[in-house]
Amino acid sequence: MASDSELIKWSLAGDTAAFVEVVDRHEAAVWAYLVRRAGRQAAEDLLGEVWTAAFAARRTYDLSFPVARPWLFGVALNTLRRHWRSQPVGDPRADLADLAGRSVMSDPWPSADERIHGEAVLRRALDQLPADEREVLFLVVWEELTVADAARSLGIPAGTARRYLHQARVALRDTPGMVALLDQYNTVSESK
Amino acid sequence: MIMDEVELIRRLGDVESLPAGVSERARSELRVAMAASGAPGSDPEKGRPPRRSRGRRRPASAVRRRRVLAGAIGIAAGAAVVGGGVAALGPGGAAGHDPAARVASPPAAAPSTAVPAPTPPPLAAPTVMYELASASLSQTPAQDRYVVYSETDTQTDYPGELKRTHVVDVRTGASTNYQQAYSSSGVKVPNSNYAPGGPPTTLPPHPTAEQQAYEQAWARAGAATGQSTDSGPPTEARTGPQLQDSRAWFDALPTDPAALRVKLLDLATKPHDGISPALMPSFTSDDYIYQEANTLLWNPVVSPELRSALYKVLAGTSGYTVTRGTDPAGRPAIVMTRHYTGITEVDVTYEDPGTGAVLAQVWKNPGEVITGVYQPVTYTNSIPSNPYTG
Repeated sequence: MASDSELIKWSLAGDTAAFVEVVDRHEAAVWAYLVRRAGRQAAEDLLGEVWTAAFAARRTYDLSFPVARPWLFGVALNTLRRHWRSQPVGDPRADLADLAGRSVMSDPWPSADERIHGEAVLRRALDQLPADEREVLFLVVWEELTVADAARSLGIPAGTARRYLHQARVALRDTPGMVALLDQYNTVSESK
Repeated sequence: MIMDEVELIRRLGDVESLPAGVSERARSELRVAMAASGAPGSDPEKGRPPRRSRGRRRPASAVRRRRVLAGAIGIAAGAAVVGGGVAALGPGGAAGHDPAARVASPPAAAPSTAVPAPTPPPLAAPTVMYELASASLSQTPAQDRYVVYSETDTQTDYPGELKRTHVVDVRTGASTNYQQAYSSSGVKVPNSNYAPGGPPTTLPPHPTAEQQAYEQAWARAGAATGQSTDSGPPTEARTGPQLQDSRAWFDALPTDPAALRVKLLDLATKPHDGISPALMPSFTSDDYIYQEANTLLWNPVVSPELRSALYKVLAGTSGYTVTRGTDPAGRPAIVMTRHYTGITEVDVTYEDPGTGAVLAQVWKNPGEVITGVYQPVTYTNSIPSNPYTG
């Protein structure tokens, strides 16, 4: 099967259908990525923007990586940052978007917000994670990337990503109430 | 399962699947951006690896050779093999190699509206075509002078099977052909180009003057292009006449998919080498392109780059279905099935998913099935002797 890097190489040679094939392969994943971080409405608005941004940036793709998904998540994250920056002043999300700033912030993830209900403990714990740590955690847990791929997506060294992931998990476990929450799950509803 | 914080987060991440309308809207944005960039074919060579100095070519009549060979079985139309030029088998099967006659009598039994739309492909055709494009590139072209390929053909209403072995000189395109008569009845095929069990008849014992001149020109061109990473396809002037089935003919074809698509349509619909195209009034451009690509893909002289490009072109056409299965010899295969617009012929090809090579082809018409099963290709620097004697 043609690798993503081959398809991107062909698309650079003028074969746009090859790039559409890359879209075919990853659109469900990129869609889920956007919905989890920005909610469904914003995801609908932004999906096409991600494709055009990725197409425009395909010359920067490192062809030594056969699978493009981590790179596409990186493109999607940049798209999200632009989106958040453009939010009206006063919207609490507007100044929370700079993940590189490592400020303690609550990145908007309204879809999770809606779903979270009684899991305020978890939400608060995630809110308090540094943005990079949270993003590594989400890429690994939600997007099912390896730590190395998550690092590639964020443009940080793999060792750093590993450290972030470790710190995030420790921080979550140490969050007040987390132990009790997990106990509750593990005693009340044993099965998934 | 034991819930931990990771599992808890995972549950937060469930999202509904992508609605088709959203997907389409996003893709249309992409298409607009692609068009604005002038991407399709605007700069086809940029980013491409340097061309190999040898590697793609082929002549118009040879494109049709596959079909002509199939059609020649049991049909007293031996001259058709020499004439070539038939791109389409109408409802009448292989008969009627006269393009003019074909145009004058379009298939009556199948008005264009009578053919049902192909059923939705069980596999995403473009995805599979790109797999085959990639598999094709994994192949290394042989440098030997002769390509040897064997096939076993069967056809409805004729007993047994016919085995053929073709030896193609890739420098000239000249071929030596051996065949074994129908095994079950001994029926001989009335085709003067083949000598059942006898010596080869199509390759003269000594090269003709034309072939000699061509070989010399080809050798010069090869030496010249060998020093250049990308001098483009050899020109007519440099290579001399491009003979049927020669590597030079194939290598003159573009390997940029957009350009190749245009070229295929051109080959299918315009006169080449003095041969009028077999125009089909009901055909769409995709019909022509698919058929032309298909009549090239089977040919073992086609370079990996050209084969890959042909699959990429097919990835951009519609109207055929793709499944995984086995070929008539039981080998695992990608099965491509096309119903051409307005004719009854169904064209089935079986491709090796690992190499992109065509394993077998089947043409079906009401009351008629022609099957060609190909054996693995071998390469050599001397013409092998007749495998069917003794």
